[in-house]
Amino acid sequence: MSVITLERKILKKNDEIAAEIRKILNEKNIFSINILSSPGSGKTSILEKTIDNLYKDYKIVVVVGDVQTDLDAQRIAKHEVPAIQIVTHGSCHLEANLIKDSLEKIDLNNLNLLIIENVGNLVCPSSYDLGENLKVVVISTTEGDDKPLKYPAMFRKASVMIINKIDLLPYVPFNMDNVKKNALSINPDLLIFETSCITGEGIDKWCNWLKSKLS
Amino acid sequence: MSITQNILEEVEEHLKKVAYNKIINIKIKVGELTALDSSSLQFCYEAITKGTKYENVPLIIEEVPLEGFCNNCKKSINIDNFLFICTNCGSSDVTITSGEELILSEINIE
Repeated sequence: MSVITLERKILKKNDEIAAEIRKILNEKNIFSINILSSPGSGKTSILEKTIDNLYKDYKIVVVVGDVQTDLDAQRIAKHEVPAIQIVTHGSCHLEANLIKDSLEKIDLNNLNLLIIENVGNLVCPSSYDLGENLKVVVISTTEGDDKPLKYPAMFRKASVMIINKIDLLPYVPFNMDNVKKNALSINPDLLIFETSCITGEGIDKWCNWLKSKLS
Repeated sequence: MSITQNILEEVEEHLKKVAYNKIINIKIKVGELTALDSSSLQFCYEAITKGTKYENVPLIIEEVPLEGFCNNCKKSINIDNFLFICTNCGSSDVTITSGEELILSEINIE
């Protein structure tokens, strides 16, 4: 018997492509965020609000990942910015090669912000670097406030957490202090925003922070 | 599922370079922080290897616990329940030293 000792990262290829993407975006001075959450937390609604707030001053492109359909891209496209749909046909996350292919469809010389809306899932997408500047995880008040403890990898790797649907707080047993405490125990550097896409509360604060990152 | 596909792609790439009669086993290391469940990985591995030369080749998964180093009191610590707080001094300035791995460690052949 012989042993081939490798000690090689299983996602090395993905990581290499992600590094290429990061280099391209840096050279073009494009800021990029990778938005992640469970299905139904309001990623697309937050994106719609964010785009409405930013599109007059910044050039934005959205890359949307879904297992099936281009419904989310259709929603985004109504908001004055180009949306590129990636249909993963069953795969539960986006991989760097899919983003790299998408970049070929985008005019990178005329872009400030690339938003990647990942497939709704808090497990696998956390393992795949897409070359983004930072990950934004969205959690909503209709979910459990223990979610950060159940999916620690995602909350550790994210730089920003948006707590969405805060207009529903009076009606749900969601404890805001608990969710923050749980998330910060996993990632003390996590920046937290609270939003409602129905009342618009908190959207300005989040958008102003995002603008501060754009050149 | 695609992680197991990625594993087999890596394995395939390395096996191209060597001569062998039989694959004995494949060993991987999976860190606690990847949140990948060993039994799910085994299930996916069995599903995608069915009818291929990897069918019945054991996938041996070494689970790597989460450990860290406290930058405040300069001690190695265990990180239990994903609480990134030093059990010694209470600081949250903790660097992960292991538990993030997703590594193809060995292929045994004859």
